[in-house]
Amino acid sequence: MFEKEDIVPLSEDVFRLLRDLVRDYCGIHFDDSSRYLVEKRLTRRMRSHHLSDFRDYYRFIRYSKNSEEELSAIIDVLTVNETYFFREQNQLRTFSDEILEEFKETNRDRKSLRIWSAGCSTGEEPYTVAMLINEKPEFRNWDVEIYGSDINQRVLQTARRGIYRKNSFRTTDPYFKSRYFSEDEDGTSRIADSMKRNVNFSYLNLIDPLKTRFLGKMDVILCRNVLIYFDNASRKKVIENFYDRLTDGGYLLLGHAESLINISTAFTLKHFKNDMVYQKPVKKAMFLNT
Amino acid sequence: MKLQKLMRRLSDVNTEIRREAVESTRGMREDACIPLLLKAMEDPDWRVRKTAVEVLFEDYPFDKYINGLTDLLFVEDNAGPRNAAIESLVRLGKEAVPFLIETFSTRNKDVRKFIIDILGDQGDPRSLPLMIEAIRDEDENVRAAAVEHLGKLREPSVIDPLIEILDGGDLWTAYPAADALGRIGRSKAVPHLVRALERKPLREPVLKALGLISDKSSLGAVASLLADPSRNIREQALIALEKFYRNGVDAAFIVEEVRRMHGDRTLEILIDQLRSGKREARISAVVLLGLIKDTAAYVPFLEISQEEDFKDEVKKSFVSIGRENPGSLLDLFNISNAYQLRMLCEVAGEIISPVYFDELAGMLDHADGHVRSSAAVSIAKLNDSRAVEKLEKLLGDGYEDVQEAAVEALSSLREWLSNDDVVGMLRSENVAIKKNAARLLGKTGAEENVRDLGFALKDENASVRKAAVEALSLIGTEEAKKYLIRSLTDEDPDIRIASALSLGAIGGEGVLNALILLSADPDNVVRVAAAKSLGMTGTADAVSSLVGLLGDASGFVVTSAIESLGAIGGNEARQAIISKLSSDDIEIKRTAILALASFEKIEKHLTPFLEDPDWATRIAAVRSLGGRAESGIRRDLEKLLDSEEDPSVIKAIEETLRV
Repeated sequence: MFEKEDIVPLSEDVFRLLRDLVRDYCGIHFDDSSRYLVEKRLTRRMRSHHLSDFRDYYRFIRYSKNSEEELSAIIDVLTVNETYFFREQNQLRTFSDEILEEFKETNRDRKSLRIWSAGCSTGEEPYTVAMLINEKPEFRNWDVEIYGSDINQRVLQTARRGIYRKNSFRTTDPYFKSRYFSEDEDGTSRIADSMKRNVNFSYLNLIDPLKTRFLGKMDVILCRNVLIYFDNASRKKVIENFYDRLTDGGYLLLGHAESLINISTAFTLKHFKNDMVYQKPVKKAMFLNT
Repeated sequence: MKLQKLMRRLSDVNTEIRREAVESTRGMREDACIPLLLKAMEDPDWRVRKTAVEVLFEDYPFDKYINGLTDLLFVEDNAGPRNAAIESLVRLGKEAVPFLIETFSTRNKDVRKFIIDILGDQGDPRSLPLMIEAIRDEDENVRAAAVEHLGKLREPSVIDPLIEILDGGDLWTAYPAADALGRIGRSKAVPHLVRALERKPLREPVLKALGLISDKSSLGAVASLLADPSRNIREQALIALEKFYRNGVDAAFIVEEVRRMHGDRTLEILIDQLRSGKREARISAVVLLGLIKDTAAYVPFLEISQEEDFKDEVKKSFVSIGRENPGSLLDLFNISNAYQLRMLCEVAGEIISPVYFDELAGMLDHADGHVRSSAAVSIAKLNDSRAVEKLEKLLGDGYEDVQEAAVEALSSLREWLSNDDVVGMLRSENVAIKKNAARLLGKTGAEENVRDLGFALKDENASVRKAAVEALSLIGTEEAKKYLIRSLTDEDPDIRIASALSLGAIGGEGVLNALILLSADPDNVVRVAAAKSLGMTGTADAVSSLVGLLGDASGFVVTSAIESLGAIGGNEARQAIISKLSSDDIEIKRTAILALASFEKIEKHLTPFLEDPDWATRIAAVRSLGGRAESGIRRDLEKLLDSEEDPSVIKAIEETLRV
């Protein structure tokens, strides 16, 4: 009974029941091609509860008083989204050369800048933002707050640790690597404490408007290559939350293959030199597609 | 008169009336029905067509309707009848061949193509002359289909015409001809295939074909393309060379030829392919480098070993090189990358040479837990008594995975283990050591230590008690059972669960009463374990307790009790499960539906659920009813298939109906 380490088969229908539980909890949608991954990664978790098949695991979660705890653990196991520093350079150039320049003027009086990397995984994106802002001397005396959030507690632990392997630097200019990282003996690289100071990490469910409100208002939200994991109904909820969290005129940066078509018409699309970015109109109006 | 009525019913708008009209001819065996059945094969609904085909096949000799079937191939406005005719002609097999050959003389190129496809599927040798004739057909699709099927037939007598096509100027047919020659796999084609390598557009299928044939005489020509300017061709050549090896060509010969062609550049060429964008080519490069057995491949191997896709092949090639000279790997153990060290430990564990003992023993102290656990597994394979003491230290490691590896490793070194030492560890101050000592006793099946494990059940730490339960469960003797029953009163629910499940599996005297008492446990999951274990005992005495659990407040307990009642069976269980079909909780309802599958006469209770709004409930009903042969149920399921939109339910019905 305790010997088996082999993978327990997950039937198509039980996979659907389980994925619907996950979707209702956090909006993340696993398509049919994820069945094997779910089967492989959840077998051990399931066995740790003395359960021998996935139907029982589904029932265990469905009828548990602490189902959120188990669903959160499932998310930890299933959603390690690979990312790296300076991902999608064109957009980052727009952020650095144009969006930051704009905020330099519009936020001149309050001298503060608040940026949220939603779905930050292991933290490369918020640290990239921190590095880019640090390269601009004009923001030195500003109150800069960068938030990274994820629903996976395990990746947040890595983000907090700030130690990265070679793969995270595949598009990093050596200048940034030498300036903001120190090499450890085992070949890993550690982010400088000065960058860590500006970045805060939070455990947040993007479809939960109450929790996201803790973050306050943001000037920029980066949510790149995250919405692809949500179904359409959940995407709408997430985008509504982003709209709510952004200051008037604030920017929403999505992944280069992502758009708000069929999700929301509340944002305007602003054309920059290198990229197009969604902006919350200065006048408040919200027309979400339903 | 009756037939006229049937013909009218066959034109009815209602599918079920048309299907029943066809069904009603079953058993009549009157030739006059044949045109009606052939007409029904043109019906827009598949169920009507399917029924017509069944009746034709069951009631009439094929020669009465085969011309009608071939005529259906000419129907152009509806693919359904054509497909039904094609399927029927394939099903007729050899009987249909002469008729198809005769029909091939038609001017209709689509029908000629269908016939080639049917004959190709049947693989009857009588169709060979026609196939060979068809490779010169005026229609290119017919020609290409004929060539393709000749390849599937794997008939050596068609090699010559295929070679002729390959040597000819028509690329449209030369491409499938190369493929077909590869499938047939005869050496006669090899010189022609090698010559075809000079025609650039054909290189890819030709390389694939040469790989399939794996004739030694072409190895040089294939190997020479490893340095082709086209990356794709270099990759295909490499993949073909791997095929040569997989098909039994001597590794030394492959290496010799590759070296003869590329000399000192051989390693460089292959190592370059390790960075190919094509996964298959990278794997082939790993395999070939493994055959060349040059230690220069070690470093690039280590670099790609971290990629999940290549890990296994890299390990095999590492082992292939290392086995020649185990000492050649020793210097690599100085690297600092933990991933790579882990791979080295695994390689050493495959080579199993005593030269690795010191390195692996050193790795047992490595800072990275993965390295320590890989080293533990590998060092155990050396079967060296010196490893025992070092592995015993890992029983108290900070990482659970390392502890588990140490337990596994020590259990395989049991001949060097001192039982007294392990029992002594049960009294260690270190919780991890106590826990793992208990696990180790379970894994070594130490029946003589059941009392010691029983004592461990009194430990103040729950993880130690749990390990003791696991160990007693593995030992499974009557004495072990006594301790397990005692641990049903443990304050930790995890331990009560583990004990209950173990007892359910062991069964026997005293277990039932203990489990019945446990079914009133305050913890939901413990009651689930009790319900499951009561089911495992398989005794009717458990039924009344399980029926009692159907009123439990936890749905998980109720569903477990339902499943156990289903497993035990009997009238009382049947009635109790049926009562749960009206539950407001859909999962309880679904579970009851599934649990009724093994009972008789439950159709009237279950068929209404085929129309339930919940897809998973409909699937439960399909699966539960699916095992029954009654034609009424079959008809219900067929009807559901027509209207069903949910893909999972459709799949479940198709699996059940085998359509």
